[in-house]
Amino acid sequence: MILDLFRLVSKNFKLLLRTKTSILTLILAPVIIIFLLGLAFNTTNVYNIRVGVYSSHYTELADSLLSKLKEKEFTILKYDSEKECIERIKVGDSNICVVFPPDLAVEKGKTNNIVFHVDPSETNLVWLILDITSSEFSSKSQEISLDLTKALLDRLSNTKQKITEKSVVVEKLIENNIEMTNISNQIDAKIKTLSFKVSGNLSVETLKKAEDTSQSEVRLLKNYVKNEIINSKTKITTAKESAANLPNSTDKDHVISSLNSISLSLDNINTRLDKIDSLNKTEWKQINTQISQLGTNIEDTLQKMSAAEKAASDVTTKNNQAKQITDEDLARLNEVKSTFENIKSGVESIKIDDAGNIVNPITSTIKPIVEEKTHLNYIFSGIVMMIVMFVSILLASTVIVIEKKSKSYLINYLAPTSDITFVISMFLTIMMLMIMQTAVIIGISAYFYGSQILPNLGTISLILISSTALFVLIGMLIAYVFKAEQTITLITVSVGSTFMFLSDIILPIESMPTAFQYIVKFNPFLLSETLLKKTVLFGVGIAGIWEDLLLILALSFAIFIIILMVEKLIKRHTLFRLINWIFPPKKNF
Amino acid sequence: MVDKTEKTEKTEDNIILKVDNLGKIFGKTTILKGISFDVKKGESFGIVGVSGSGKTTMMKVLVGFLVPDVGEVLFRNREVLKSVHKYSEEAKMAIGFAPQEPSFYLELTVRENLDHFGALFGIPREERKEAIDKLLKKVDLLEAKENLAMKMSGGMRKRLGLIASTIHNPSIFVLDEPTADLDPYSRKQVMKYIKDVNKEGKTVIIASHHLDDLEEMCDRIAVVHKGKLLRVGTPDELKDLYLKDKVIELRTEKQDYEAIKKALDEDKEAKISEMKEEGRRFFVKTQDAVSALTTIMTVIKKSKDELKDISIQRPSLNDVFESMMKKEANK
Repeated sequence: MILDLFRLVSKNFKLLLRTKTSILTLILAPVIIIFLLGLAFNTTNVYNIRVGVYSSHYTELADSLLSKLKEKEFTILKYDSEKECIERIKVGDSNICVVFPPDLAVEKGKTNNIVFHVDPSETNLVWLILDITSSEFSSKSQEISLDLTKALLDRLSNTKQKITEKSVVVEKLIENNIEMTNISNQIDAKIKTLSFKVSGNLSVETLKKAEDTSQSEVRLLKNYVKNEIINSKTKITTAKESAANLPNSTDKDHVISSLNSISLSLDNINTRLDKIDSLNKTEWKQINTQISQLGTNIEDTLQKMSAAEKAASDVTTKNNQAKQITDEDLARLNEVKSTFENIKSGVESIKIDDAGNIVNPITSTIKPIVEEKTHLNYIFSGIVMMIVMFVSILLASTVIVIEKKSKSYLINYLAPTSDITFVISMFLTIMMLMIMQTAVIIGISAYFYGSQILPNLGTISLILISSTALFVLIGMLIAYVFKAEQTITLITVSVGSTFMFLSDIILPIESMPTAFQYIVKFNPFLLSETLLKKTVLFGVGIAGIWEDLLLILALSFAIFIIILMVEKLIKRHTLFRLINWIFPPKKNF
Repeated sequence: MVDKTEKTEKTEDNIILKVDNLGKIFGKTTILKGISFDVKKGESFGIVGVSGSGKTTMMKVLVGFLVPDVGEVLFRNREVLKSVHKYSEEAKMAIGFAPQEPSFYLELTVRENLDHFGALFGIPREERKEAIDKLLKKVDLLEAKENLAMKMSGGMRKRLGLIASTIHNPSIFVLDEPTADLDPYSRKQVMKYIKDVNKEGKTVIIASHHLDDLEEMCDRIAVVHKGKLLRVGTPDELKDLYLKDKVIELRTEKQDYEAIKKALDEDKEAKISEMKEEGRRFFVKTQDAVSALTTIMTVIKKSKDELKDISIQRPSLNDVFESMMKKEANK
C-alpha cells in the first residue's frame, strides 16, 4: 500500500506540475496574496488620507496644525474656497475638508472652532478620518493647553519661591519688632527706676550752721590736742630721765631716740595745730562762698531734676505709644507671616504640579499586550489562517474534482486498488502541496515577523499542518459528496465564508447568542486561528494548546472516516438506491 | 473477419457473460429495461443502437460502474458465474473497459499512463514494462512512448485508451464506440487491435452505431432501441430476418433514370421496394434482382443510352438497422 501511495502521490504531483495554470492559481496565488498583504500592512503609518484645507487666513496656529498633520504623512491640499474644498471631497480628490477660522489663535476669552466636512457615504472611512484628524487637532489643542497651564504653574511656583524668600524677611521683621518691644520695656523700666526726689532738707543755712559748728568743734579739738601734747611732753621728759638710768647703753640710746622722735612728732602736731589756729577767716569765707555756690547749684540741680522728671514722664508716655505701635506692627507682621504660610501651604497643597496632569487629570493608555511592530501584527494569524483555510479547501476540492472529472476516473474506478488508497493518496498530495505553500508563507512571514515566528516555529508549523489537514479533509469531503463542479466550488466558498463569518474576524463571537457561541467554538477556522494567534502573538507553547490541537486532529480523523463512508456509499450508488427505495420511480421493466 | 467456424462450436457452458433481465432507471427515466443476453467465451459481441438508446449505460452496467436497478450481470470466473457487482474485485480483473472517451491522463506521457494503470491493477513493475512495450507496438505507438498524451492526435489517444484498458490482460474486453470519430488509419489500427485481442481468445463486447465496423468485427450483434433489446443474432441472421432485398446500383451515360423508374414500376415480378437517385447514380432495392436487371438493361438499350457501371449488393447492416428502426417507429 505504501508503494501504491507513493506512486499515486507521484502521479498526482506530475499532473499538477504539468498544469501550469493550476500551479499558478493554486500555489503562487496564496503566496502572492501573503506577500502583497505583508507589503501593504507592514507599516505603522496611518493611511494615505488626503486632507483638504481652507482658511481665508492661515494663522500661525493653523500652520502649526497642518504641519502636525504633514508629520503624520497626511497629504495636505489647500483650496481657495470652502466651497471648492467641499466639492473636492465629492469628486474624491480629498477625503475630508477642514476649515480653519481666519483668526485661529490661543487668546484670552477666545473660542476657536474648526469645521470638518466629511462624506458620510464613505462609512468605512469617515469615522476613521474624523478620528485621526480630530485627534491630531485635539493633540495640538492639548499641547497649547499644556503650555498655558505650564506657564500658570511656573508663575505659581515662582510666587511660592518668592513667598518662601520673603518669609525670612518677615521673620526678621518680627524678631526686630519683638526686640524693639523688649528695648522699649527696658527703657520704661529704667525710667521707672530713676528718682528725682531729694531726701531731707538741702539748704545753705543748714550748711552755714554746720560750718559754724565745725569751726567751734575744730577749736575745741585744737585746744584739747595742745593740752594733751603738753602732757605728753612732760611724760616724755620723765621717760628720758628714767631711760638715762638704763644699764645698757644701746637700749638706753634706742629708747631715748624713740622718745625724742615722739617728742618731735608732738612738736610737729603742735606746730600744725598752731597753723590751724592761724587759719584766717578767708578760708572759711571761701568755704562759705563755696557753700553758697553749692546751695545755688543745689537749687539749680533740683530744678533740673524736676525738669528731668517731667522729661522722663514724657519719654515713658512716648515709649508707651511707640510700644503700642510696635505691638500693632508685630500683629500685622504675624498676620502677613500667617498669610504667607497660608499661601505657601495652599500652593503646596496643589497635589498635581505637572501641567500634563492638570490638562488631562485622567489619562488612559491603551497598552497592547504584545509589542506592535506593524498593522499586520494583529491580523497576521487571521490572514494566514484564512489563506490556509481557503487554499486548503479549494485546493482539495479542486484536485478531487479534477480527478473525478478526469478521463481516467473510470479506469481508476474500475481498478482493484482500494478506495482508501486513493483517498489517502489524494490527501497526501494536497497536504504536500499545502505544506510547501505553508513553508513559503512562513518564510515570507518570517521576513516580516522573524522574531515572533522563529522561536515558536515548531509549534506554528504543527498548528498550520494540523489546520491544513482539517481544511483539506473538509474540501475533500465536499468534493466527494457533490458531483457538479460548480456546486462544489460554490459550496466550498460558502463553507469557507461561513467559517470566516462565524469567527471573530469580522464580528466578535461574543455578540452572538450563547448557544450559538458554544457551537461556533468548534468552528475549525476559529479553532485554528485562535491557536495560531496564541502562539504567534503570545508565544504560547505546545503545552498551552495541546487540547485544542487534539480537537483539531479528532475532527480531522472524523472527517476522514466520513469521506471513506461517503466514497463507499457513492461508488455503490447506495444513496441513489436508497432514494429510489424510499421514492420508487414508475417502473416499466 | 473472425473465424466463425470455431465460434459455432461453442456451447452454453462457454457463456462468459450473462445479462439477465437488466433494468436501469435515472430519476424518472427508464434507460434500460428487460435486457437479457449471453456472451460466449472468445466471442466478439456487438451492441448497436442509435444515440440515446442506452448502449453506454448498458456498457457501464456490464463493467460494474453502474449498479442495475433490476436484474444482474454475471461473469464467469473459474467455471462459476458470479455477479459483476457483488464480486466487483474479481470482475475488475476479469473485465477491461474502454469508454468512448479515452480514459487516461492527458498530462502524463503514454508510458506513464500505462504504467499508472498497470500498477493500479497490481501488475509487477517488470511485467508492466514488458506489457507496455508489447501493447504500444501492437497499436503502433511505440515511438510516441514518451510523448505527453495531450500532444497526441485523436486517433493515437483512442489507441492509447484501448491498450490502457487491456493492460491487465482481462478475459472480457468491453469497448464503447471504439471507432467513433477516427481517421481511416486509426480506425484500421483500432479494428486490427480488437481483432487481435479477440483472436487471442479474449471475449470482446463492442457498442457502436458504426454498423459496418460491427459487421466486420462481430460474431453476433444485439440491437438495442430505447433501452430495450430488439434482436440478437449474427449479421447474416439479422439481414435475413429483416431484409431480403438486394441493391442494384448503376450509372448511365445520359443519367436520365426516369424511363428506368417507369419500367421498374411496371415490372411486378421484380418486387421493387425502393428506388432513388443519389448524385449521378441510381439505386434500386429488389427481391428479384434478375428480373429488375433485365428490365433496366432493356430500357437502356431502347433509349440508346450507355451503361457506365453497375453492381448488385446484399443490403448492409445499416440497411437492416434502418429497416428495424422504421418498423419500430411504425409500432
